Amino acid sequence: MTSEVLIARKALAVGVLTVALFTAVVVQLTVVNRLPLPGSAAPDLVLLLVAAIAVATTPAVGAVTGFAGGLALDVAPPAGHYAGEYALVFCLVGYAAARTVQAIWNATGERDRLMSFTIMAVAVAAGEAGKAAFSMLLSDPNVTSTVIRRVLPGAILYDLLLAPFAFWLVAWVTRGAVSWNTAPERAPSSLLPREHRLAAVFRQASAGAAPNLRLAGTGKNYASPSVARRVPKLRLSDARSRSSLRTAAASSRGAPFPLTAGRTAKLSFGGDLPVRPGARASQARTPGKNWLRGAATPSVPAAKRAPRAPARGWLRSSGSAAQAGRRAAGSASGLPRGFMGGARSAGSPIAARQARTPAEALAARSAPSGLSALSGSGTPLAGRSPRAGWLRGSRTTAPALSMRRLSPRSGWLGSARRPRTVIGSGVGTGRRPFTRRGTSGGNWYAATPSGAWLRRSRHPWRKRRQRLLRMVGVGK
Amino acid sequence: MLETRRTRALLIALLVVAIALITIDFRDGGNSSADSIGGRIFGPVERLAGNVTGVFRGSGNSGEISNLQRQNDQLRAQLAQAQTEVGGVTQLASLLHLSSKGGYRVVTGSVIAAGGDYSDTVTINVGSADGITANETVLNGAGLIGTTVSTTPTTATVQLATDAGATVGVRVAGSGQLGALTGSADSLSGSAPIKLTLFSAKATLRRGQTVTTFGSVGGRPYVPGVPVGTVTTVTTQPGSLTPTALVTPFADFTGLGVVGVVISK
Repeated sequence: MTSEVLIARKALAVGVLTVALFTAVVVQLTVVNRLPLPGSAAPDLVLLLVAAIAVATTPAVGAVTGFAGGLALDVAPPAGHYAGEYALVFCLVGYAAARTVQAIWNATGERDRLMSFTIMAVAVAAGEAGKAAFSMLLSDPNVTSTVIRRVLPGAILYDLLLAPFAFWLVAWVTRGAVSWNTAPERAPSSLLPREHRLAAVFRQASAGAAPNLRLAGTGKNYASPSVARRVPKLRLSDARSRSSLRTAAASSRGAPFPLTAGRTAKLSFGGDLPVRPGARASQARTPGKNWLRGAATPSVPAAKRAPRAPARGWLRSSGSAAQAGRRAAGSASGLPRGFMGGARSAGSPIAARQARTPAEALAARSAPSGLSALSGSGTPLAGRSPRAGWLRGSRTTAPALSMRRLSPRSGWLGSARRPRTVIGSGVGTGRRPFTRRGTSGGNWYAATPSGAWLRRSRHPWRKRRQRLLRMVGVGK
Repeated sequence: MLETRRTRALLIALLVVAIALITIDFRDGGNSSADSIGGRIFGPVERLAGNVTGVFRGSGNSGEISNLQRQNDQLRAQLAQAQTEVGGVTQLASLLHLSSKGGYRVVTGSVIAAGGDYSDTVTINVGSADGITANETVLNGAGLIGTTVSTTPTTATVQLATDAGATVGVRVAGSGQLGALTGSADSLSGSAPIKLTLFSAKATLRRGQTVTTFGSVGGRPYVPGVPVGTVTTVTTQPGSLTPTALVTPFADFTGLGVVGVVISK
C-alpha cells in the first residue's frame, strides 16, 4: 500500500468517525435516552464508539476521541451533570483500552480480533461504572448507591448487546487506515492460522543468528514449505559471496548496509564492530597468520584452516588471546592480532544451538512467547557447530570484549537479557538506521529482534508485565 | 519511547482540561459558558432530530393531537390561576405578587431530548427566542412537569419534578397542609414516586389526597395551583417529627410529548 493511499484512507476514516461520533451524541440524547427500555437504563452509544475506536487505533487517538465524545455529552443541552465529567472518564477509558491492546500486540506480535473485542467490552463496562462512580464522587444528588445498583447492571447489559455492532462498524471503517495494524513487514495473520506463537519462536531463533535455520510451520502447516523467500544464511567471517548482502537486505528491508569501497557486508562475531576504513579493512579481511593461537603460540599456521568451523582445541588458548585482545582494544584501532580468537569464542555460542546450556535456557525463557527457541534445533546446523570445548574459555574472553562500547557487555551470556544479533548488524549499533520509527523493525521472521522487544526486555517492569500477561493468559 | 511519552503528555493535558472544566462548572453552579456553547452547537441539531423523531412519535408540531394537547396545557394553566383566585387564597396571591388580571401566558413546545441514566432533565424545542427564561413552571395537561433551569435561543432545559435536585413546595388539597416534594431520581425510566414531607408535625396524611403546588414568589420557579399527584403510601416513621408519604405524579414522565411553559408576567 502506497503512502498516498494510506493517507487518503486515514483522512477518510477520521472524517467518518468524527461524523459518527457527532451522530452518536445526537441520537443518544434525542432517541436512546427517551426509549422506555426495561431495566430503567439505556445503552451509551458514545461510550461504545469511543471504546471501539480506541481498540482499533492508538492510545493517543483513543484519549482524544474519549475526551471529545465525553465533552459533547457534557455540554449538549439536557446535561444534568457538570461539564467535563464524562470527558474525564471517557478519556481515561479510551486511553486505557488502546494501551492494553497495544501492550498485548507488542508482547505477542499478533492482533487478535477476539482479544480486542474482549478489551473493548471490559472498557465499556468500566466506563459505565466510572461514570457512576465519578458522579457520586462529585456528590450528584441523582446518583446514589440505590440508583446505581438499579441502573448500572442494565446499562452494562445493553452496552454489551450493542458492542459487536460498534466494534464491527469501527473495524470496517478503519480497515487499512491504521498503519501499525497492517504493517507491511509483518506476516498476514492468515499465514499463521493456528500457532501464533511460532512467529515469536522464529524471531527468537533468528535473533540468535542460527545459520540457515528455517522454521517449519511458517506455511500452512508444518509439512508445507516455508513461504519465506529469503532465509538468512550465516557465513562465519570473511564472507566473499553475496549472501551476506542478501542477509542484510532480508533483515532490514531497507537498502543494504553501505560499506566503503563497494564491499559487501561482513559478518563479525565480536559484536557489532564499526566499519573499518578501506585500506585497513582490506588488510584485515582475512585473519593474519597465527590468528588462532594468538600471541602466545605463534607456530601454527592458521590461515589454511577452513574458516567455517574452528577445529578442536582452537579455544584452548583463548585466555591468552583475551589478554592480547584486551591490550589491543585498549590501545589501537582496527583488528588486533588474536582478536578473532576471543571474538569467535564469544560468537560461537550463538551459532551453536544444539547444546542446552543454562544461558540458552535463560534466553529461551526470556522469549516473549515462552516456547523454547531451541525446539527446532535439530535442523541443519549440526554440521557447522563448533567442536568440543568451545565454551570453555568464553567466560574469560568476555572482559576483553567489554572494553569496547559496541561489543557485548560482560556477562551477556550468563544473563541473556539483551540478545544481540550479528546478522547484518542492524540492532547493536546504537541507532537503528534501517527501521522507521514507530513501526517495530525487522522482518516478520525477524532476523533482528524487534525494537519494542529489545526495549521491553530491558525495561525494569519486564517481570511484572510478564506476570500480568501470564495472568490474562497471554504468554507462557 | 518518544511516541509513548508524547501520548502520555497528551493524556495528562486532556485530564487537566477536564478537571478545569469541572471546577469552573462547579463554581458556576452547573451553568458555565461551556454549557451555553454546547447548547448553541447542539441545540439546533437536536431540534432537527426532535422534529424527525416527532413524526414517528405522532407528537410533532402539527396535527390535531398536538393542537389539543396545546389547548389542554393552556386550560390547565388557566384553571390553576382561577383556583388561586377564587379559592380563598387571594390574600396569598397578593402576597406573592401574582397579577390577578394579566394571567399566564403559556408557551408550548415538545420534548426533543432527554438526559442520561442518572439525570431527570429534558430539552424542549422552545427557548429564549420565545420568551422563556430560567426558573419557569413547566406543565402539561395532566399536571406539573418541572421547571426550566437554562435556556438557549432555540431550546430550554427542564428539570423534572422527579429529579433528586428539585424541591417543590406543595399544599395538600383538603387539609391545606404545606410540605415539600423531593424527587427520588429514577423517574424517566419508570413511574417512580416522589417523596413528600410535611412541615407540620401535627398534620396527618391519608391515602388518596391530592397535592398541588403551593407557589413561589413571583411565580418562579413554580406557579400555585398546579396539581402534582396523589398520595399513595404514607411512610411516616414512628417517632419522626414530620409525616412523610410517597406521591405518584399525575404526569407520565416516561412519555413526555407536548409541554407548556408558564410565563408569568
